[in-house]
Amino acid sequence: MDERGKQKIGTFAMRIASGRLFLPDDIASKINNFYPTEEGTLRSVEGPLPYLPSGAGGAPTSGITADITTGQYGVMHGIFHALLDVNGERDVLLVQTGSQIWEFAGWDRGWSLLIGSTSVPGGPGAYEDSFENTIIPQFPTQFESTSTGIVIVPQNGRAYFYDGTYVAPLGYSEIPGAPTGLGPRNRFRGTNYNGTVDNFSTQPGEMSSMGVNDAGYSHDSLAGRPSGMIASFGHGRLGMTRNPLTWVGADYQTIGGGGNVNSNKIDGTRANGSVGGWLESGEWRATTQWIDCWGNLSPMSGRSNEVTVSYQPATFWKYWDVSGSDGASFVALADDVRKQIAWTSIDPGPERTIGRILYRTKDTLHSGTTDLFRLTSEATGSAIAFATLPDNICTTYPDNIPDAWLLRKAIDIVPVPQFKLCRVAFGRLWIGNTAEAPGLIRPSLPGRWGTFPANQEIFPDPSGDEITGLWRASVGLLAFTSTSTYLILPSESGEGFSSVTLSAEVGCTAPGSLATLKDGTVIWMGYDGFYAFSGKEDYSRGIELISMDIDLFTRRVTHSRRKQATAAVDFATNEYRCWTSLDGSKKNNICFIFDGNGWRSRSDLQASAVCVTRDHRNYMLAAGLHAENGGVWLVDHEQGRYQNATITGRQAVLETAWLSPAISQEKRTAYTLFLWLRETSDATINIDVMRDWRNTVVETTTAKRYSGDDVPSFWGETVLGAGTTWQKKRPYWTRAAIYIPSAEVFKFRLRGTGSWEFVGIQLEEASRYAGGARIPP
Amino acid sequence: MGWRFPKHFIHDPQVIEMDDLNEDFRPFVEEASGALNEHNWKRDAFDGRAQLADDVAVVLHNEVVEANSNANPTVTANIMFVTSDIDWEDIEGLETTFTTTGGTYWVLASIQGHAPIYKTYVFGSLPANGRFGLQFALSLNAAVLAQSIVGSGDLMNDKIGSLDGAVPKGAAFYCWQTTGISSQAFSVVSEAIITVPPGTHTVKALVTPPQTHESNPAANNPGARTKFLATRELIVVELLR
Repeated sequence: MDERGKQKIGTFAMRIASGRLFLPDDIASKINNFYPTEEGTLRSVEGPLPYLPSGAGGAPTSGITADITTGQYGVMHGIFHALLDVNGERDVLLVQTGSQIWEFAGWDRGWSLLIGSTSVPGGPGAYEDSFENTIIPQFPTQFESTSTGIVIVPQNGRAYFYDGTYVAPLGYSEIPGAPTGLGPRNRFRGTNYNGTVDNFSTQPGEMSSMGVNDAGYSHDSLAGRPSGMIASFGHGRLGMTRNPLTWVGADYQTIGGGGNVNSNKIDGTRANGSVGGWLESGEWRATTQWIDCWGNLSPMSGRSNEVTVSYQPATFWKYWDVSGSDGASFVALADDVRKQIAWTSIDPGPERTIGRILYRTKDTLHSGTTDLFRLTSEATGSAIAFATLPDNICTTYPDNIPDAWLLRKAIDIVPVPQFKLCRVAFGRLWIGNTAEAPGLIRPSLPGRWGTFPANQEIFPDPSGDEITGLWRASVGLLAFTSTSTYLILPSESGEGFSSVTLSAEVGCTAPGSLATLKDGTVIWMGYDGFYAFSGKEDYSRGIELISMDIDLFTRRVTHSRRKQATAAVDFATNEYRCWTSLDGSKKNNICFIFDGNGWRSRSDLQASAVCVTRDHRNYMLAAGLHAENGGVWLVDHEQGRYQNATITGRQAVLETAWLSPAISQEKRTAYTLFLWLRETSDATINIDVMRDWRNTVVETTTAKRYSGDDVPSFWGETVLGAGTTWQKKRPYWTRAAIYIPSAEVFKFRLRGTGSWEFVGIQLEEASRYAGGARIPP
Repeated sequence: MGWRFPKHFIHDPQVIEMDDLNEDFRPFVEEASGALNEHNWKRDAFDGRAQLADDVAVVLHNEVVEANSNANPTVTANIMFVTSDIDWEDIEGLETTFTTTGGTYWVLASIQGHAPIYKTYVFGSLPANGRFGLQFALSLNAAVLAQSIVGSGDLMNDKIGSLDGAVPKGAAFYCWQTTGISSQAFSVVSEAIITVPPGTHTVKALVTPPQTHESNPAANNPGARTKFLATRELIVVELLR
C-alpha cells in the first residue's frame, strides 16, 4: 500500500505487566520468566542450579521422604543464611527438610544434621528432636538472625538457638525446683521460765546458750556456742542486730589477749540487766534461676522454705586457757551473733546451663519488702559476675551476704512458650502466635533472645485475633493479624511498648511474604492482594494496595494455602519475589514479582521457602522443587551440568496488552512488528499474533536473536585466533512480517526458550481510511 | 564466602561477548582474593599444625622470669620476696602490655611460690616463718580481676586465724585458717577469661599475703623475707576462634 498511510506506534519498552483489559500500550499483559538487567533490558531467566550438585553434578533425588544424605530432600519447610561469630567467620546455611534441621557443610560437600532424632538418616543431630512433617498449609519455618546466633522456629515444635557452634532450645520452658534453705534451729523448746527446762538457763541476765539458734545449720562467731566455726569462720552477716543504750563492758576481752577477762561477765552484779546487743528475729527465702550459655534466664523457681533466726542476745561462753568453759556467759559484740545460712538442693539445669543465679529476700520481718534480690557470687560483691554459682554442678551455697548488699531486683521471667513467629526489633526478640495465646506478642530482654519478662505482653488486636506476621520497619515493629495491621512503638513514658493501629481492615495472611525493598517499603500479601507500607509521614495512610493491576492473578491464589507463601527481595534487581500457590496447587507454583513500579511473574521453580544470603554474594536461595526434584536451589544461576527439559524447554514470555484499545472501533491493519532486542544467540524467538480481543493465535512468526546486518561471532562456530574480538552485546532492530487486516485490536506474544533479551517493540499499522491495496510486506 | 557459582551458562550457539564471561569469572577472582572460608576447604585439608600460621587461632603474649629456688633465695637472681603486708603487690617481671582490636582473652599467671610453714623450712639463717601462705591475682589496667583471686576474695571476713600456745605463750602455735596457699613450695596458676575493648591494655600478676585477723604485724612478718617467688610466667592468650 501507499507507505504514507502507514504509521508506527511505539516504541513500547514494556517492563511490567497487568491483568487489566484496558492498558496503556507500554504495559504488558504478561511478563513471565524475565528479570531486569542493570542496563535496562529484560533478560530471560536462567537456572536454577542445585546448590549442592549430586556427584554427577546433576539434580538432587526426588522423593517425599527426606534423606538428605543421599540428596533426597523430601518436603522442604525453610531455609536461612547468616554469618555468625567475629567478622562473620561462621557461614551458616540452614534448611528444614522433613522433620529435621540441617546445616550446610561445604567441607564435606554435604549437610550435617543439626536437629534430628536417631531415627533419621544421618542422625542423631547435634540436638535430638523431631518436628511433625506435614504438607498441611502452614507458615514456613521462621528464622531470625541475632547478634549472637540464629533463632530457629519450626512450626510444629519449640524454638531453638544456634550460635554456629552449639544448638539448644531457645531459653527455658522448664522451671527450676525451689532450693532448700538451711538455718539455725532452737534446741530450747520449753516455755517454763524456771530456769531448768532442758538444762538451758533462761534467767534474765543469763540467757546464755539458751537453746536459741544453736542447732541445725547454725553458724555465727560466738565462742563457746554449738553454733560452731567460731574464730575461723569470721563474722556472719545475716540478721539485724541492735545494741543496748548501756554498753556493759568497756573492756572487751579478746581471746588469748590480755586485760581483765571478767570485766564483761554477765553475773547479775555487773550486767545491770543488759547485754552487749542482740539479734532480732529474721526470716529469708530464696529462689533459683538458671542461666544458659547465651545469657538466657529461666523462670524463677518457687520460693524456698523460710529460713528463720530467733531473737538472741549476743553473748558467748567464756572459756579459759586450760579448763575450757566455766559456764558463764560474757558480752559479745553484737556483730558476732549474726548468722550465716545456706541454700541446698539447688537444681542443676539442662545441659546448656552454665550457671545458677540465686535470689533471696531481705529479712522479710524488718525490710518491709518481700522482693527477691540477686545474690552475689562471693563476698567481693562482684555483681557483674554472670551467675551466683558459675557452674551447673554444685547444689549448696553458703549464704553470708547481708541484706545491705542485695541491690539488683529479680525480674519475673516466663517460660518460653511454643510460638510460630518471631522478629528482632528494639534490640529484643519479639515472639508471637503462641500456642496458648495466638494473639499475643511478647518481647525478650534486650540481647537475651530467649528471656521473656512477664507483664510486657501485648495483644495488638483487641479481640485477640491470631498474629500472622511480625516485621521490622523503619518506624517500628509491624504486627499483623489476617485482617489488621499494628505498629509497635516504645511507649512515650520510655517504659514498655505500645501498639498503634495502622489498619483495622488490611492484614497479612502469610508471614513469609513479608519483605522490605531497598527504599524501606515493606511488602506483604493480604487477603485480596499485595500491600505496601512505606512508614513515611502519617502512619494511618501508609498502607496501600499495590496489586490492583494483577487482581486477575492474585484472585487465583489458593486461599487455603496463602499462609505458606514465601518472599525475598533480590539484591541485584531489587525485585520483591513472592512464591505462592496458584489455582489450587499444593506447592508455591508461581512467583509474583514487584519491582517498585509494577509486576512480573516467573515460574522457574516452586519454592517452599526462600532467603537471600547475608554476605557479599547476596545469593537468592530457594528450598523447594525444580522439575519435581526437591532441593536447595540457587536462583538466577545456571550451569551446564544441570540442564534438563524444564530448563531447556522453559519459555520466557512477554505478552503485550491489546494495543490501542481506545480506538478499537476504527479497524486497522498491522503490517510489521519491529522488535528491539539485544543479540544473544544464533536462534529465533516466536511471535504469536492475536486479534480482536480473542486469545486465539492467528499467526505465528519468528525473529532472529541477532542482527542480520551485523552478525556477531558465535560460540561453536568462531575459530580461535581468527580475528574475532570480544565485544559487548549490541541492541538491534529486527522486523517480523505480519499481516492482520482490519482488526479492532492486536496483541503479540513474544516467547522463546534459552537466552534472549528484550528492549521494546514498535508496530507499523495503517488505519482503514488509509486507502490503497493492503498487500502483505 | 561459601560457595560461588558462575552466573551464566555459556554454550553454543550464544554470542561471544565479554559481559557474561566476566561475570562468570568475577566471583572466583573475588573470593580467591581473600574471602575463602570453611566451606571452601575439604575436611582435613590441613593435616598438621605446621601447615597453619602461628596466629591462626590464638595470639600469645608471655613474660617469663626464671629463678632457681634450690639456692639461697637471698642471693639468687630473680627471686622475689613478698614484702607487702596489706595490699596487692606487683609480681616482678610479670607484666605485659598489648594492643588489641578487642576480643576474648585468656590470661594466666603460673607461679612457683614458697611460703613455708613455721620452722619447716630452713635455708641458712632464714627465720622461715611464712606460714600463712600467699594469695595471687591478675589485674587488667590496674583493676584486680576478682575471678582470678587464688584464695578467698572475702578479705574483710576471711582472715588468718591463729592462736599462740597456752604455756608458755608462743611455744606452740597453730593456725585456724589461712586464706592463701601455704606450703614450703607450691605451684599455682591464677587465670581469668576476659573480654577486653579495643585499645592498649596492661595485664599484671599480683601477690599478697592473707590478711591478718588482728593488727598483729608479727602474723605476716613482712620484713622477714620469708615468702618468695621463684620461676614464674605470665601468659596472655588472644582467642581468635
